[in-house]
Amino acid sequence: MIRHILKIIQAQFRSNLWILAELMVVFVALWIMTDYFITQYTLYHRPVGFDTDRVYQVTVSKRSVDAPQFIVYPENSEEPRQNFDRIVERIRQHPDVEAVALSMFSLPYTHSNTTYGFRKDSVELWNIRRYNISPDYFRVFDIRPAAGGSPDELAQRLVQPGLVISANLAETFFGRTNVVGEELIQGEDTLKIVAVTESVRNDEYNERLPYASFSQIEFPRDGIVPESTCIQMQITFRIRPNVETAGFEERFMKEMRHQLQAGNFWVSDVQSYNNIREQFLERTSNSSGQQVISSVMLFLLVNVFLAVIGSFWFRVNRRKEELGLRMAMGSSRIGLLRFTITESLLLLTLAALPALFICGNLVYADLVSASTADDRLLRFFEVSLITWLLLTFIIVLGVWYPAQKAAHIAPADALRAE
Amino acid sequence: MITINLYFKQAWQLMKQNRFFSAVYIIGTGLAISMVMVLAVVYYIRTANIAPEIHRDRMCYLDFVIYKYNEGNGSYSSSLGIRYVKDVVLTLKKPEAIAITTSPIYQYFQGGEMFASVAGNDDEAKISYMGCNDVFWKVYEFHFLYGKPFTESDFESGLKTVVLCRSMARKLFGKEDVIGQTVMLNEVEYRVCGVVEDVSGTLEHTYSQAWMPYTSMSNVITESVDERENTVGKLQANILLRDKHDITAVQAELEEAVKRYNTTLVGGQVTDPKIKPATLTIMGVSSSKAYLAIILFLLLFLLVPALNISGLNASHIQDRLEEIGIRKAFGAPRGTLFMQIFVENLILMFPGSLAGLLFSYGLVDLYKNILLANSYQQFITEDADVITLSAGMLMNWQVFLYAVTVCLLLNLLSSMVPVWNAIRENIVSALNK
Repeated sequence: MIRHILKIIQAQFRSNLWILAELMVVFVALWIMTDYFITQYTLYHRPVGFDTDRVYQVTVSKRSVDAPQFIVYPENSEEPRQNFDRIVERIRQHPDVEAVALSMFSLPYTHSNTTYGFRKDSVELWNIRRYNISPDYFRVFDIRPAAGGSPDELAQRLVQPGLVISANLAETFFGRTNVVGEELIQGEDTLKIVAVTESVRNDEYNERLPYASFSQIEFPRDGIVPESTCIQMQITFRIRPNVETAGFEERFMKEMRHQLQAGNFWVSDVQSYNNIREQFLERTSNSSGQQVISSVMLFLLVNVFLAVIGSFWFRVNRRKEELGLRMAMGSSRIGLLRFTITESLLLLTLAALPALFICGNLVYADLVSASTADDRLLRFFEVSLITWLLLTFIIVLGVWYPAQKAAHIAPADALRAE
Repeated sequence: MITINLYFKQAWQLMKQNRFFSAVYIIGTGLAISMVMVLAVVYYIRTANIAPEIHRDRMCYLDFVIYKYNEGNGSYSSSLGIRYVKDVVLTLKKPEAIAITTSPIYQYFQGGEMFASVAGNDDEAKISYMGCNDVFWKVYEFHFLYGKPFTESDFESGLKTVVLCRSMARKLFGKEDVIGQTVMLNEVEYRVCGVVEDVSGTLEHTYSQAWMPYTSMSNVITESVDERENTVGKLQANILLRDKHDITAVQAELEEAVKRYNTTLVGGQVTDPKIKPATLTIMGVSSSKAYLAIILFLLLFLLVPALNISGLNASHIQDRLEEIGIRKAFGAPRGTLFMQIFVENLILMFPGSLAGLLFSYGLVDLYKNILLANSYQQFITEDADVITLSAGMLMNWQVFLYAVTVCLLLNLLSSMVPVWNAIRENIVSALNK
């Protein structure tokens, strides 16, 4: 039957040309987009390492210099730092709070970070994110040692001299993760690794800064920290497991509003970290890209649907005689339905061949993300299959109505047209 | 005129006869046009002269200084510092006017947030603000509902005076005519001197909820002893050119001015000053990449429906070969036949195009936060919808012109080959059908 249909397609090649060309273009476009979504999906489902449930961030604001209540501290005053610590301490003492962490440019789901490099023998890595944190940071975000254990263990290790690095960084340098006691070189210094954490990423889509190293947030010995530095420190805290999370921010702010003021500092906002995460993910180019690409995919699929339904409708009308003859010769209605659908799917397959050749070249030329997949060939087949199935679905949907019409022709009517 | 009338009648009859074909055709064209029009509308909103940014085509921007230390090879770069603005930017003579504003990106990265409150109301509203000079009000055309912008002398003296947008005035005071009232901005008293129509967040160089002289903000203007801090700071210059081709001349003048400025520096040098022309940013993607993306999507949006409709046309025209054959037998020239089918298709396209255009407005509105986001909006974490659309952004002669062009183009693309094939057909074989 297939050879028979192929002959029919060949005989009507001129009128099939349009739909073949369209299917080919759409196949390539859909292939690229499917590949994009698969990449996004794999990225999204890799673990991030941060647990943001029950975590809140506190925004500390500083009174304006022009404000009448502004307190001017002398240059070498310890007062600003003490004021800031007072606020942190009051949060810590709140009965619902389990742990409070300080950090600087080191929060997940943000755009600010600091990076530096490490060296071992001739291997050098530069894109390592440095997390400047207080020990409780591990408790707040529930970051655990790579070998298993509790966040407390990491917190104890952080205060020791040495390095705390992430599992994937250890893997890259040493090929294994149990590397406590090994050494890495940073600049002129040789540093000993004291702990290895699970791998962490800034966010679900992040690929650019995969490696992490943790250091304790550092202050000058004399305790003098200017106000502008204080408010660059970010405060996050985790609430106890039995505390109701719904409406916690409002309750907390209402209760603590007046306590959380000290010197020129005041707490202007408390936000749940899940909320911050959601907003961040919503605004990344990834999520907007996904929405735009899905709209474009939908557009292409609707076009294919219209093309198929349109051209097969004409075809059925024009080939009434032929179909009537087939019925008169004993084709069943189901047989005719199957015949029309097979014809459309053969068209798709014919169009897919040159399209796959183009896609294969795209992978070969490193122009699509499939070229970064672990197994390129497998990914190529995966994406091709999904694209083919997607188009098959749409084509069957589009051809159904004309095919039904074809199957329900009364043979006498059709033959009369002859 | 009579022939056109005839075409109309014939097209109408055909549409009625072939309902299924017409429906598919209309949906197909409508969809194609709506997608292309989304691109067109977004392009228009991101580049056209839209109040208050009425001179976008003649604007260029300077918002980046690199200060290279003499010792070592460190450098420090950010927006413009107060002394750099005074000694370099404002000495430029070639431009028509130079508006200086605080850099919005700076605010978002440095946590320079502002809270507004009114006496007798305990609630504090977070407010986005912009420090600017008096020239700002001449370069940009704001629609003042009440009051006036602050004047040159207000600016020079650093008067604590503010222009609010309509929605913020309403939010704070419960009414819009609030000239002369005071508002507390970060606990500092400001007097309201004007209320303007809200500005859409997609206009990144003017968007704000409050505008005040930057000379009134001591964290911006306090000159420190450090020359680096005076050179690299928090300001940016929006330069209005006399003619848009002046940009190279202004660049040359700027380089001269920087050379002079560098002689006054001790600890370092300003390197590579660069005036940026207005760049196209769509979805956070800038300039050449954005153009490439637009062209690629435009091709996809035109090519696929064109193939689609070509296929439909090719099928449809086969049914009309007899008619074409007869007309040819009676001596109709090819051009006339082509024109007739072209006009027919155009008429058939009309309802789809209109629906497509309206649909595209809906899509732009639905996806405005993605499509119209400016270069820094993805960094802001605010719940509020800052990007608003006005009727003028969607309905204007440029957008309509785009729509008509797209229609003609799509029609030409989709009828040319099938129609040409059909009218080339031999008279005898056509009549034989």
